[in-house]
Amino acid sequence: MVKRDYDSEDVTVGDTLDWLKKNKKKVYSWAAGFFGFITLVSALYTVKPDSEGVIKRFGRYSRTTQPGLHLKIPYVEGVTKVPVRRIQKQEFGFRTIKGGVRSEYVGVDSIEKVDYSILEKFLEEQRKLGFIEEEGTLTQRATKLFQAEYQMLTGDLNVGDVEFIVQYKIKDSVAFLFNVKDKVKTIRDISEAAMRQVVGDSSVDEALTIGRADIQVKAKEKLQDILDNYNTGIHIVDVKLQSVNPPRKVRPAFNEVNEAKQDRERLVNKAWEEYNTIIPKAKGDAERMVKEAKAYSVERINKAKGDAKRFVQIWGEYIKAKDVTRKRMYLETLAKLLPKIESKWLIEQKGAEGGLLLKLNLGEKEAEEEEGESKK
Amino acid sequence: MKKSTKSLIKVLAGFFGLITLCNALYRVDQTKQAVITQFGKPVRVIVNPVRKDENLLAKLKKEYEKQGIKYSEGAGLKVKVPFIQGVNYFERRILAWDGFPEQIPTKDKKYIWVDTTARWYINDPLKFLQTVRTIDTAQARLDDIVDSLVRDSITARVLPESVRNSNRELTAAEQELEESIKVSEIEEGREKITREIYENARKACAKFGIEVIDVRIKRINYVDSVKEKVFDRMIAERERIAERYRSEGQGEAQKIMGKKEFDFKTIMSEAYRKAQIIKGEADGRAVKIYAEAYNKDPEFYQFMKTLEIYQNHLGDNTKLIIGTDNELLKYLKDYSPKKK
Repeated sequence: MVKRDYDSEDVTVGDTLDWLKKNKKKVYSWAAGFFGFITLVSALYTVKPDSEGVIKRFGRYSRTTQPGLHLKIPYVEGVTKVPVRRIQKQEFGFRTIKGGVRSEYVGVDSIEKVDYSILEKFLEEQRKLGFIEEEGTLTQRATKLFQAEYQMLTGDLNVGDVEFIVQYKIKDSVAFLFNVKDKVKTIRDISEAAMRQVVGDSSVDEALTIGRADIQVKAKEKLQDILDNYNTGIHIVDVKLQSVNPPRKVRPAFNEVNEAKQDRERLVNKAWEEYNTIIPKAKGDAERMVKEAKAYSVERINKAKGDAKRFVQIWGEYIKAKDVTRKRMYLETLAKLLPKIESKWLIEQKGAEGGLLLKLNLGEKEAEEEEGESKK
Repeated sequence: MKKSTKSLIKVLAGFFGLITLCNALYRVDQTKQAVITQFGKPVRVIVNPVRKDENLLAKLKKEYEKQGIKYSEGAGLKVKVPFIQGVNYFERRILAWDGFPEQIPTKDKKYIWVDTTARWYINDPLKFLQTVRTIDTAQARLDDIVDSLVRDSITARVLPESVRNSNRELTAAEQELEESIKVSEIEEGREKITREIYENARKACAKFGIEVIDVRIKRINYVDSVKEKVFDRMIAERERIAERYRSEGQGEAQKIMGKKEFDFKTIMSEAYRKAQIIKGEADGRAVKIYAEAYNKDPEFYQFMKTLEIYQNHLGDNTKLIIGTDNELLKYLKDYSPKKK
């Protein structure tokens, strides 16, 4: 070997080879141990409780394993873990930004309030799914894409805005892995196709309110049918309509119908209220009127009877002694009458005693005056 | 030979042996199919069908063997002639085709956006290799074929045929709308139409070694200008109903107010009538009672009554002038009993 000038720190290939030659046994044992370790790691694998393990040997499907710790042939066999017990969700017409107890959503009504990064994520997702953006600002593009997702034709040839979700599980992990490429895209495409077909057979009112449950059931059935036809290995757990509305421009008119209905109720109720204030009172007044008349009647007749009886009794006595009774009655009347009268004058009757006018005051007051005058 | 050269040759030989071995072995994944070519000419096909159709596979086998090509099935580790033979991999799985959304007029002149999607897979890898070769090319073929089939199907029919699927009766929230939601009955419907498109596409694509398994309308909607008109119609319909409800309410309220007036007047006048009758009857009876009594001696009644009147109505402001031959003053002048 040619000796060269070099620092003791430089290590050449030659040095390494020398060292390897000298420590052959050590190196071999170390290497063996290392490869053994790697092999072991490759042979052992765990499957989580929510998954299954699908084993391929040289690329060919071999078997499926359940949760737990398992062995496989190292290097030759590969494992793919499939979350078969996890329920997954796809959203249409809106996206959940934050899950949990207080979820936040972005949908067409809330696009302006949402962070740009979220809109970009949405646009990215749409691009991957093969949807083409139109031109415009970020908000405009996102709005158009959302709208394309939720707006549908209804069976009465109207238009509705339908938000919905699809929940699904992997029921056959082998089919899931090996039968369909682009699984999420397939689920989304067919979900939209199925929902649109069912909504296309319903009226807009049925989608809004009265037919929601029916539509959900039908869409779920249709979706499951088609996915089973493709043998995707997916089980649809549920299809649920979220908020369904008439298109924005039309919404006020739809609300007006409800308001008008309420107005009608209100007007009629108010009229009945007034009726029920007046009429029962009138009935009461009417009854009172009749009762008063009856009272009058009773009073009048009783008085008449009383008066009549009194007269008859007096007359009964009168008949027994007419003259005397008449005189008595007359004098009694005068006796009661005279005290009430203030000034009484006595006048001599015409010419019987010869021209002397007797002026006799029976009233005390005037007598005093006379006395006073005569004193003068 | 030098010792070092020998060992070098050994190493190199071992190295090349290993490479050759690696090149002779190849792996067909569960998601793939393969065609082995020798100098560009296909010699073996490994099919891995996603749908097991025994008839088709038998047919393929016959086809291949007729061309002198080996037929095998299934994924896994395979052997080929190293270097001379090459492997072309193809997808085995179901693939998605997406149509470009098209503006299509229906037979009744409504312009609509239709977005279709299809599902297909390679069922004959050899034919696929010989015709389109790549998935991108295949998608382009599908574009041409399916788009024109969709267009033909939609323009030949009125709009309800593409929207509806059955003649199921639609219900409306307001009874007044029942009439307007009655759309003409359809003869075919969406499923039938897409089925027609699918079958035609399937036939057309078979020559590419492709099996089309489904064509679906993913989205369908009015073109913007038509949408506006539809919105206007929806608005007008609902406003008409709202107006109707309101005027119904007013009419009903008026009726009730009228009833109120009528009932009120009826009750009060009825009561008045009854009261008057009762009073009248009472007055009548009273008169009769009085008359019966007083008629026993009318003169005495007059006498008695007149005295009462004097007693009650002559009082403070009256000045009384009594004549001296009044009965009262009789005894003022003379106390002896007189006969009058």
